[in-house]
Amino acid sequence: MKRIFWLRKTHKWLALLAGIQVLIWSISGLYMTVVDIDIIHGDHLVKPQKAEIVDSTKIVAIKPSIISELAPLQSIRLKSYFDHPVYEIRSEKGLVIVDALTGTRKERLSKESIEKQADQIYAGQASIASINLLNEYPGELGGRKQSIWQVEYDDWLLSTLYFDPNSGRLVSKRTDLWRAFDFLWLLHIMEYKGVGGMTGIFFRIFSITSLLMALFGSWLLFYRLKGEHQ
Amino acid sequence: MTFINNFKRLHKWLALLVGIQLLLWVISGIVFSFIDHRVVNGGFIYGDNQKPQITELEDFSKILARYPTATEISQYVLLGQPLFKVVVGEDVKVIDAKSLEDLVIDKALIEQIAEKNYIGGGRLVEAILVSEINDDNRRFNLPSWQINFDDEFETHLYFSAKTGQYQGVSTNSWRTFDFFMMLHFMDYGQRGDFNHWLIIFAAIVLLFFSMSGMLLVYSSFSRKDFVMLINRFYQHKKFTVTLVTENGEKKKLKIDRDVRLMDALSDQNIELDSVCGGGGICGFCRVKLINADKDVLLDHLGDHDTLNDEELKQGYRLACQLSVDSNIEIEVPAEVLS
Repeated sequence: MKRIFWLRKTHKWLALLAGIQVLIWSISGLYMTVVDIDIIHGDHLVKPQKAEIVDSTKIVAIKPSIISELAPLQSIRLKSYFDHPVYEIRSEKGLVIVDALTGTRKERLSKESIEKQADQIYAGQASIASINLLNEYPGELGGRKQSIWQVEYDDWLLSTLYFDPNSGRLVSKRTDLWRAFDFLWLLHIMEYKGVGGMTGIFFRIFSITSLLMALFGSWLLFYRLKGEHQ
Repeated sequence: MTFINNFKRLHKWLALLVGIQLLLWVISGIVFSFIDHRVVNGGFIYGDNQKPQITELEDFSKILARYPTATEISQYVLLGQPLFKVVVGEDVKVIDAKSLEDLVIDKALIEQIAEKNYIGGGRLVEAILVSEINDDNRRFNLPSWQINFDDEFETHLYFSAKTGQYQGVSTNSWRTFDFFMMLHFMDYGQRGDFNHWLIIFAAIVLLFFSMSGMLLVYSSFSRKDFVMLINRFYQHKKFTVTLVTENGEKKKLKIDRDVRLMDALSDQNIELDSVCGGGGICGFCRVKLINADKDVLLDHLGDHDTLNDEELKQGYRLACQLSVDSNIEIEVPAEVLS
C-alpha cells in the first residue's frame, strides 16, 4: 500500500481511539491556563489579616499538665487567629490548640464567633447563606476525619470558607471556579472515581496512542507540504 | 463538501502552528506518567523525620517583649538545642531559647544537619553559600547553603542561610522532571507559571486543532471504513472493476462491495497518485468513469470540489471518494498499470 495512504488511515484510526481524550486535554488545559491560579484559589475572597500576636502582654504559659500529657512535642507555635492569641502544639497525638490568655485547651468556637470571624475576613459582597459544623472534611477538601465549619455565601460562584473549630483558623476556601478546576484536573490526569490518575493505565494508553497519532499526523503533514511544493 | 475540505486545510495549518508544542505536551505527559514522583520529591534522600523532643515549655514572654510586632513565635529543637523561630513581617530570626542570643547559622552547623538527615548512599563533598539564582535553586528563598553529595543522583540539599531550615533537594530525577515541566508549561523563565499569554495562545490554537480534528474524524469515517475492517474476516459481494489505459491496456479486478475505489486498488498494489492520502483535497487520484452497470455518474460525489462541473460531466471522479457498488470500467493513467 502506498505510504501516504497508509499514513492517513493510521492517523485517522488513532484519532478515532484517542481524539476525544485529546479534546478533553485541550479543554481542561485551556481552562487551567486561562483562569489565573490566584483567582482559582479565591485569594480575592479574603482580606489580608493583620497577623501580629495580639495582647502580647497578657500571654500566659501553657498549663504544665497539657505539656506532660502530650510530651514529647514536635513544636509549639504562638500566633493569633482573629484577634485571639493561641498556642498550636504539634505532637504525635496531633494538633492541640491552647488559649494563650488562659493557658488551657481552647474551647471550641461557637457558631456566632465563627460567623463573626467569617464577616471579619470575607472580602466579597454576598451575605452568608449557611453555616454548618461538619463532622468530617467534605469531599472537596479531601474528606479527612476531622470536624470543620463550613460557611457558604450567597453568590453566583457558591463561595465557601472553611474554619477550624478550635483555633478559628481559615483552613481553606472554595468557589465554583476551583471546583471546576478540580473536576477538569481529574479529567486531565484521567482519574475516575479515585482510580487511574497520572500513573494509571488509562493515562498511559491514551497518552501513548495520542503520541502515535501526533507522530503520524506530523509525517502526513510533511508529505503534504512536500507534495504541494513539487 | 467544500465545507469539510476547508476544515481539512484549517487542520493542516493549525498543525503547523501548534504541532510541535502538541508533541511536547504529549511527550512530557508520558514522562510524568512514568517518572516516580516520590523520587522526584527526594523523600528517599533526605529524612527530616526528627523524633519529637520537646518536654518543657520555654519562656515566650521575653521574646515577645523583645519583638512586640512578631506574627509568629515557634519553639522547636535542632540538633538537641531548644530554639525559637520568630517571624517579624518578612523577616525570620532564629534564637537560642536558653541564652536568647541569635543562633549562628554557619557552615559547620549546616553540614552537621545535612549529614544527620541525609539518608542516601553518598558522602558530603562540599557546602557552598549561594545567593545567585539558578535552575537548581530557584524554588528556594536565597541566600541558601547548598550541600553537595557524591551520590548517583548528584544530590544538592538546600538550607536557608537565615534560619538553617531545610528547603529542599535537587536530584537528577527532579532536574529531568523540571525540564519536562518547563516544556509542558512553556515556561522558559521562572518555572511553575502556567497562566502566561504564550501558553494561553497555544492552548486556544490546540482547542481549535483538536475540535477540527474531531470534526474530521466524524466526517471521514463512514460505513465503508468498518466494511473494510469486517471484510478482512468475512467475504462480501464482489464487483468487477475494469481498468483501461489510454493505450488500450486492460486489467480486470474483483473488488469488495462498498469499499472506496482507492482502498481497493491499493489493496491490490495498484497505486494512484496522492499527497493528501485520500482526504479528497489534493485531486491527484482522479480517474475517469467510462462505463457502469448502475448510473453512478451522479452518485457518490463525495468531496469532489477539486473537479469542476465539466469534468464531473465527463465522468471524472476522485478514487478516494468513490465507492464501488456496481461493475465499473474506469480510465487510469498508463503508468498505474505498469
